[in-house]
Amino acid sequence: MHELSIASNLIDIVKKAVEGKEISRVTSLRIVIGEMSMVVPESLEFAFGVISKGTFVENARLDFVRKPLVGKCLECEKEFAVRDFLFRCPECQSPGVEIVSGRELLLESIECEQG
Amino acid sequence: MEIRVLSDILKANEAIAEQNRKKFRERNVVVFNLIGSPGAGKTSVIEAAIERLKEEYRIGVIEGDIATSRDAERIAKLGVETLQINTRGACHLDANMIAAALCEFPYQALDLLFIENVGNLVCPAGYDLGEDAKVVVISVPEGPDKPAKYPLIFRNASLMLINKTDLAPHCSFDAEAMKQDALGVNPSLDIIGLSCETGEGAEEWTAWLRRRMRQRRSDR
Repeated sequence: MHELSIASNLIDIVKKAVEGKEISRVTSLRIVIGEMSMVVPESLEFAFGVISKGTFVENARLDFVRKPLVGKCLECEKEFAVRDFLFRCPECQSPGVEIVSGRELLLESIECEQG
Repeated sequence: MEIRVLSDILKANEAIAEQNRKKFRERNVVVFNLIGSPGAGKTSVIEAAIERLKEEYRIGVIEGDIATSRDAERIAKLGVETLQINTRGACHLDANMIAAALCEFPYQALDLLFIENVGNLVCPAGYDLGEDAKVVVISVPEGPDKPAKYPLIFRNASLMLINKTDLAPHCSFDAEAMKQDALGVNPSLDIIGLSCETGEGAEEWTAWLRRRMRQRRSDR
């Protein structure tokens, strides 16, 4: 969803992060994508490839860390993988489930060359 | 060399949404973001609420559409403060559009603000505008499988309004199956069925709004 505007945001964040540092090349970006972020890594890669042309991050590789959708039962505290977006504890059937991971869309780190 | 960043990529929208939220809270305005497919009845449920609540609350509406001001014109006929945003292609409203709208819209004089999002069950789900609650509007002719097919908006909404219940005899609509799907995705989702055509269920919808208004005001 909106991978092009997300790619654009990504470039802005990278720009800010490298400000004032002597960087000759950005080689890769490590991105954490949650299962429920509704962002498709392959589409983001494609959009990034398009929008980064002619910029200082052109040719940077995107490395994705995919986070599964994990819920935690508020009753019995069991943590479980949420399947088909069904938020019900498999242990005690409680409907009270909080999301522990899976909503992330995060730029974790930048790998770059100095000079 | 590695530079640790740990930055939420959508933070730009989140930051502006929080600013919007702060403005609304400072002026005691309760805000609802209405989301649904084109034709679900978002404008109609807003009209139904205005007709029943405008003597009790000062109501305003911000309308979002790709083109035309038809929805804003409908609402304006009811005598409430209305603003139309034309996104000219964007498939959802974002916090920045609302922030810009607030510069020319007298929200400070309102108790209750409806924001009608662009007709779309996908993209608006992920964009916080600064609202108090998201309300998802679906309609009987769309069929019962929307909560299973579009989980994010049903997860993020506080209320599901099932509009056009008067058409149920003409569609094979399994309301119970849909409710089970919706509650599976979001167990704390409130669910109300109504028909803007006949008025059935409209009192339940306005009662829900009154409860949320009282709740927010007593949080101060």
